[in-house]
Amino acid sequence: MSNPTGPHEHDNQTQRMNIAGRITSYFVDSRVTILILVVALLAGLLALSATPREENPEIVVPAANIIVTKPGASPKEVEELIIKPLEAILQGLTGVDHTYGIATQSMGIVTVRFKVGENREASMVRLYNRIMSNLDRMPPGTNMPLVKPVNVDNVPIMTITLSSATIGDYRLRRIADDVLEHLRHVKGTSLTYLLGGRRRQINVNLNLNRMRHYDVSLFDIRRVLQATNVDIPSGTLVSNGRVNTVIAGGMLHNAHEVRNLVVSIYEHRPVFLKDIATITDGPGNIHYVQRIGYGPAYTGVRSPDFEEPAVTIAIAKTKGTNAVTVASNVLSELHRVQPILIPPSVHVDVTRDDGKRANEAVNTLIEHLTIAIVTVVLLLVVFLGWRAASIVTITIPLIMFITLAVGMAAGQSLNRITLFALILSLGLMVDDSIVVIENIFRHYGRKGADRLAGAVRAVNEIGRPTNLATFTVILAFLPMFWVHGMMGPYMAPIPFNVPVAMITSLAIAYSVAPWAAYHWLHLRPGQHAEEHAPGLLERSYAAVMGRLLDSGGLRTAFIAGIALLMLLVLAMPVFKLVQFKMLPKNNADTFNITVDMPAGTALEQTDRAVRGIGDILRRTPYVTDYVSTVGRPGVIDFNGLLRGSSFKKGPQYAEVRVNLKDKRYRSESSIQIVRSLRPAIARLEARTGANIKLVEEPPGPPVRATILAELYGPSYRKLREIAREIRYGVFAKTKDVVDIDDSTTANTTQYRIVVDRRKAALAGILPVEVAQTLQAFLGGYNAGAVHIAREKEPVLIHFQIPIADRVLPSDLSDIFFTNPAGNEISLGSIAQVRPVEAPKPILFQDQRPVVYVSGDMSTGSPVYAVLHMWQYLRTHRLADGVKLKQDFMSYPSTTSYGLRWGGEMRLTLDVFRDLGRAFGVAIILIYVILVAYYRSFVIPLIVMGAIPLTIIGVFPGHAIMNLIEGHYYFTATSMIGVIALAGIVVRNSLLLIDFILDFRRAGHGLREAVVQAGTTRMRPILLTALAIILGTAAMVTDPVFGGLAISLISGTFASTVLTLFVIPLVYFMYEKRTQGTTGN
Amino acid sequence: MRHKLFRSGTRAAVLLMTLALPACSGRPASAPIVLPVLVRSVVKLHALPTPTTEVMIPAAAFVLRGGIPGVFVLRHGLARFRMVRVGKNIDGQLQILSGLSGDETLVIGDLADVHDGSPITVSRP
Repeated sequence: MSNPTGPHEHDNQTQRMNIAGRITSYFVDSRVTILILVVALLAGLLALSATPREENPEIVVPAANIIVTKPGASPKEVEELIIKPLEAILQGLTGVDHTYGIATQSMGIVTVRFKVGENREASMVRLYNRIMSNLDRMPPGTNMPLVKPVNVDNVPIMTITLSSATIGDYRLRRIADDVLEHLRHVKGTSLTYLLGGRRRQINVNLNLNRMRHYDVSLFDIRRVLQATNVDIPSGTLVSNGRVNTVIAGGMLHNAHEVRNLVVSIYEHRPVFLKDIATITDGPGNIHYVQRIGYGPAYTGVRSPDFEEPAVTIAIAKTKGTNAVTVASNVLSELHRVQPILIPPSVHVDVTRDDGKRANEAVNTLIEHLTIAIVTVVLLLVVFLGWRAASIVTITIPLIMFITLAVGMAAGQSLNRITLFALILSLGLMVDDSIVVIENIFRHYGRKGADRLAGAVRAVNEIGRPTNLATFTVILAFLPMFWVHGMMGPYMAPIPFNVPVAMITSLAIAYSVAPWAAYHWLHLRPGQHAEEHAPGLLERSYAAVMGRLLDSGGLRTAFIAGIALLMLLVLAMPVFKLVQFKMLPKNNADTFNITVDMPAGTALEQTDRAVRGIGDILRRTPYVTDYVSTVGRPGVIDFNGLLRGSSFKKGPQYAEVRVNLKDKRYRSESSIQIVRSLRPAIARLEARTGANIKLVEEPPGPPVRATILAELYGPSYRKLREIAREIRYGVFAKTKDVVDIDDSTTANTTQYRIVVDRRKAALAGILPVEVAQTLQAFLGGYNAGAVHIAREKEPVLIHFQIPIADRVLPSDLSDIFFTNPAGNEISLGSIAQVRPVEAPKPILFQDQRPVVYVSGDMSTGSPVYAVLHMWQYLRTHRLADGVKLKQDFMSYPSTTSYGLRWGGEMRLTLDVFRDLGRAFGVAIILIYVILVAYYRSFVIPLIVMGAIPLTIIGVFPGHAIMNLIEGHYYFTATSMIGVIALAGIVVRNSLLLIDFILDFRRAGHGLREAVVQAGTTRMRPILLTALAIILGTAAMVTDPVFGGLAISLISGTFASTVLTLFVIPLVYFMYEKRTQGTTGN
Repeated sequence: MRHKLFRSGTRAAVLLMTLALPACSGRPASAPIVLPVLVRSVVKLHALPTPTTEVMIPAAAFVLRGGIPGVFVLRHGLARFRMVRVGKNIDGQLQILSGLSGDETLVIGDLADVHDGSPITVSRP
């Protein structure tokens, strides 16, 4: 296209118009073109500002927890009577990917996870329907199943933490409640809730001695309360033509009324509740606490205390709304109400703002994209001169804007992956316009050319090969749509946006580019030829190529050399010069720390360990703030949702969410910061006995654990032992494996109250009284709510025995009952308190009992750690001679002991398998379309010979990066790069072969045609290659998509250089041989 | 032309960005607060031989901070807040059910000015 003596010239007049020519002839002098420009511009600006922004594409994984209780059942009973029937009911439900079960004392939970991309509403309806229509199959004695959907849209996008050391968590919660009521009015918010602080309740602290004195039992109080605290609409009275509603009852409205409740009659006088209990209106017992602490990088007003009690307002957004606008609207509403509702002594910190995060991620990439465009434009100016470059420059934003507008119309969000797709296609999208402009120039350069007809003819000439080249690129990307699992929707913007951008670039190249050239470009005859005289590059290429063509020995040596290079490069992964990983860690602005204390640890002890973490964090540079929640998980995030962290409720659990300074203003990545924390955390673990995990945000789809060994086998007890052995004997001894944990729980004591049925019957006490009384004694119980008109949260009446009176099991003996005869019967006389070992929960995955051992990598790829452990277990037996059968993909049989490697390892295998398949399909599609184009089976093979050449660049490219940076991996994005390269390099070699064939048809000799085609195509090929290399260079620094950039840069570089020699040579050899066999 | 297009595109973005709270911007971090050194008396708990015996503390060491019950433990010269669960009050001695191991040194006296992290000089009686 840049050759003044191109091969197409001879048949210019005879050619009939193809699609490209016809499009151009319509648009080249039409006002519609201007309209297209304006519409594209407006649509693009609209798309840029109105498309919902996200950091990563949303992954829809419908899931639900089904909770069934059966009071008193042991985990084994729950397994047989709840989990198994429930899973049997769920079996056959379409679209279910996995089921996970957990059987604990009195309760079974089955988590159903549907396949990625299944419709959420439809899945939930199906699930509900399935359970409701099979309720009769559940064994008697089980309660109604509770289906709780796990909804990604309920993950808060924003958390606002209020804190104060002085005003108390109880008042803080009430302030937060007032604030929340205003924030809830902001459009686009959905689920909102408060975390932290205690609610208002009426505390009834029972005094056992007084109760004994007045002869009132818990059972009596309960009965009175239930009978009192009701209002029943009784009906209506009609008089004087009016209807008046009558309500009967004695509802309690405040603590005073509760105090004066008559609970019994003692010696002909009423006994009020206040006589036997102290009643307070205020906060109840502490079940969990939340605090905020500030790190060295905090920019707000600091508190004199290291940490202060906090209450967090969590706000989720409705589906389909723009997180950026919802978050900023919530913030402006917060600023408005802050002076009115929040006292100055309360600190307000935004501890999560996904809207801002998404916006920053998108803006950073728009910056990168702009840099890439500027670089490519500079390249074009150097190569093409400013005139041609200016026209191509106009087409770039046009194509981008139209692509963004199409994305918005298709309901896509604007996220990092979308923008990476645009950066990726930048080098390719300029190519079509360059080809067109170049050819128009060539025509205009001739003397006496008709400008209008010249432009049309120029486009018509190159239409067919350009169409074909563009479609090969599209075909390379399309199969990526069929990647399974969570990785599919994660990278779906690439196979969506690249083809759209390619088609748009083709359309723009045929319409706007010729229009602009026709209207704006005037050049004197012969000027174009001057610019494109063969330079030093072309001449030296022709010389080298000529020698290779002339000497058969040299040719063979060259091809053999390439083959040897190929072999060496392919050996690189074997010698670990190139290492594989699913996705590298991302440099995030936040990470979580989870704390698991041994089962049976009191809240205060867990709190101590968590304060220890706070001490470490306050010394860590770049930490702005951290929110610790002790006794339950913090505000859930997407990662936690899929990891199932919401189950971790109890005094032994805690979670700390750490916010770091914005990554643009810090020199250390979050990966380095987390790594630097590990030694101090390990010392804290040793001191407190806690299991502390540093959970970094996954760069792609979340997994349960990075390294996960799923153990299956016939005996659960034995599995627990194997788990322990694998945890301490294998995981702990593998290099770089950290955060090791397993799903077994520590031995804990529980007290079992064994009622002597004979004695109880003789005393006239029903076992239900014993159970209910004990529940009230230990846990306290809520006896309805008082009815306070203006209260935002229900105010419960909470009966309890003060903590001080229930410390030791012997305190239980103080409880007494009153039998119908009016005698006091103490618990001790009818029952015995016995310490027993608490039963342990049983876990299930896809209907098989399972024990998990999990771990994370401090650094490096889990692939090699897992392979190392796999190798060890393959050659070693466990302590008592058990040989584990190991699997990666399928479930091991449960008749013997087996281990399945899950976590990121399986995700990696799945993704590389799917991408490999996509690559295979892409190659077949390209081959088919090339066969149709060339009407030959061999020539397409020669054209596609350029594909393997890319590996010669890709692997060394990664190896070099690994040497420079250390821990640089061939990742899923690198693999996407390889697939993209297939389309790109085929385009180059296709145009090369096309030219050779054209030159041959024009009557040139074989040697002459091969050298001429190479010299002619060299500039455009190098230009495309450089555009791709410079365009994607902006991506190299991205921790996740750097691999894609490295693949594209090194692969394009190597294959471009090699394609220019190898493809013509192979074609030369092929044609020589066919000539030989046909007896020419 | 290209410049104009992109600048107007990002201007909207910049506007949205500035609406967000500047909590995590590139602003310099605020200086840590230096708390005044307080002179307070302390009481040393004596490690108890068995885990079944209860930890008892003087009622003067107990404090409610932001609604959370706790004590100030003296560690490395600083008063550090420790959350505790209190049982019975027996003659001015509080029974601690959880939160203390029994070998800590507690800050007593006027605790209103004591913060988590206040430097403490032990007063000699």
